[in-house]
Amino acid sequence: MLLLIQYTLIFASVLILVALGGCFSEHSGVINLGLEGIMVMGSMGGALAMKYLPAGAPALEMILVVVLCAILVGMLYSLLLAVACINFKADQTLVGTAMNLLGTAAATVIVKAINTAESPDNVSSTIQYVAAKKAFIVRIGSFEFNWFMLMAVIMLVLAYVVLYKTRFGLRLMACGEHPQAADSVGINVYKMRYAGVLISGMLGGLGGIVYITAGVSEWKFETGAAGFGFLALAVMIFGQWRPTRIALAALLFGLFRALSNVYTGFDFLVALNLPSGVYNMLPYIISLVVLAFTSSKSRAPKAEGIPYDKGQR
Amino acid sequence: MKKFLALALALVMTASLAACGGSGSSSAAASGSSSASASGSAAAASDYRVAMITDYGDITDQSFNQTTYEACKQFCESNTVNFTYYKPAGDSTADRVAMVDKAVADGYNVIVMPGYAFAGTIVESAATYPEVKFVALDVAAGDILGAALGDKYDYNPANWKVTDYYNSDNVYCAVYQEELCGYMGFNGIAATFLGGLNPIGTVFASYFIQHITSGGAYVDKTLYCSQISDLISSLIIYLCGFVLFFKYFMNSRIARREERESLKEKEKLAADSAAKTEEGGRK
Repeated sequence: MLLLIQYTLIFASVLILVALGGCFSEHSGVINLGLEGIMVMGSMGGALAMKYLPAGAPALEMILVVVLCAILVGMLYSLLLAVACINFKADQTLVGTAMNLLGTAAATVIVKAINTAESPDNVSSTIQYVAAKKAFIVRIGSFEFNWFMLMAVIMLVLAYVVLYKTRFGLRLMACGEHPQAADSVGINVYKMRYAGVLISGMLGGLGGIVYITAGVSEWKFETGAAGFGFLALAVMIFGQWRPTRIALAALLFGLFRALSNVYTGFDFLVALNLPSGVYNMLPYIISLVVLAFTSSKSRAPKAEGIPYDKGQR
Repeated sequence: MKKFLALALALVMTASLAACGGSGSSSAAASGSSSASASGSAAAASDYRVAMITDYGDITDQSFNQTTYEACKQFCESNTVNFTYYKPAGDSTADRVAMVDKAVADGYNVIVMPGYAFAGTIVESAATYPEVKFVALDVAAGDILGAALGDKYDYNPANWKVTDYYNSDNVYCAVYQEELCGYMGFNGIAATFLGGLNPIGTVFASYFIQHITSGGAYVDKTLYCSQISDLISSLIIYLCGFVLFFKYFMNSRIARREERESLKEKEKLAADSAAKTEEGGRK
């Protein structure tokens, strides 16, 4: 049971971080379908940092460097979306799709190149970080507390405060609702949209590194982020683009995702004798069902997906 | 919008179906080359002797056994390496292990094993003969765990450390890249946009994207990895975003020019009429 709670919390942290990233981007008016790709790139940045940091590095330094690397790579990668969608008014769905493909492919190619350069026989796209991962975990009894859980809560509070209580957040949301009106009162829509996309890159990258350190101690980059970026998008829509609701939705989806890892610990679930694939499918099936019932009521930011053109009124 | 979504979905499905059909042959080609390159590293020294053991089929099964046999034979002939094959007496791990014993006793030190049925054999024989090299095809971590753990295995390879259950120093397990098909859905979305949301355009766009993807299977795997093709096609798709921009840009330029021209004409008309009224005023 404790294991289930632990995994639920860590997977919910991933979903909260990534979904909040999507939330910022969409509130500024840019659909960020590329979250999955951003996660992969961010996780690659973090994993490389863990690989190259000396094993004896103090925990605090380790956490800071890894998180900063993940955030930095995620933000740099999200610039691809920002430049294409804000400056060049590209189709946001298409660019997001391209970024998902590109993220997995680029991460695999880079990691393979690094592995092969180290030893010519190693053609795998796997990075191992067994020792480095320990810096993130604090054992409380048999419960493994992960610093990322705390980070997710802090980010959640920050996101709420920034979006609803600061001038910046309200302006950001105005740009997603009616950019022309926002512009007419002197808000720079392009700058706000850049800010939204970059914040989503930052949170997406952070979510990526949390995801690959959650259950395993090595990651094969060919698998990408295994659809978690899309699950986060579903969480964001289910959460109605609001941080508090996103957190609740993330807990629900995280629970089902965790179940696929630890269902063997529950006798009644083992007695059902279902193949593990069923449990792996659960979060995605749940997201389909839930969205089918709730999406008709969902209210997305009005101007999302529409490139801002100053000349239009 | 709904119409567009339905159209996009339908196109995605057809595109991905077509794409999956196309990649079947390319993955078979990849498997042939991978088995060849796997034994390639082993043959640096001429004192290697290669033996292949069939699983429950024969070397003429037009499948695993045949491709493996042909690849091994071709490789060994061109590198003048001694090669033979063994067929187990029955379909069981004990029979396969017996064949490995026989091959090793006959002096063969590279054993090629096609198919996941050899998982149990790997677990047993790899530890028995640490000086013999084993090349196993289509044997994944799950197969080895299933063979080693029996009923205890929960079909989740992530929960176990597979290298604890077999001698990983002298075994090379090649797994076919079935997941190459996995991203076809995304490629389908890209194909619709690349084809300009036009059914006929989509045909060409799908062909183009699949052409790049299939080409990825033929690149020299010792230098590049097959993801290079994904990288290239995703970059092309990314740049397609800018194509829409250029279209938009050009359209707005043309519109502006037309507007200017019509404005000029209007001005002319206005000037003419003004001149007329002036004339009229003078009268």
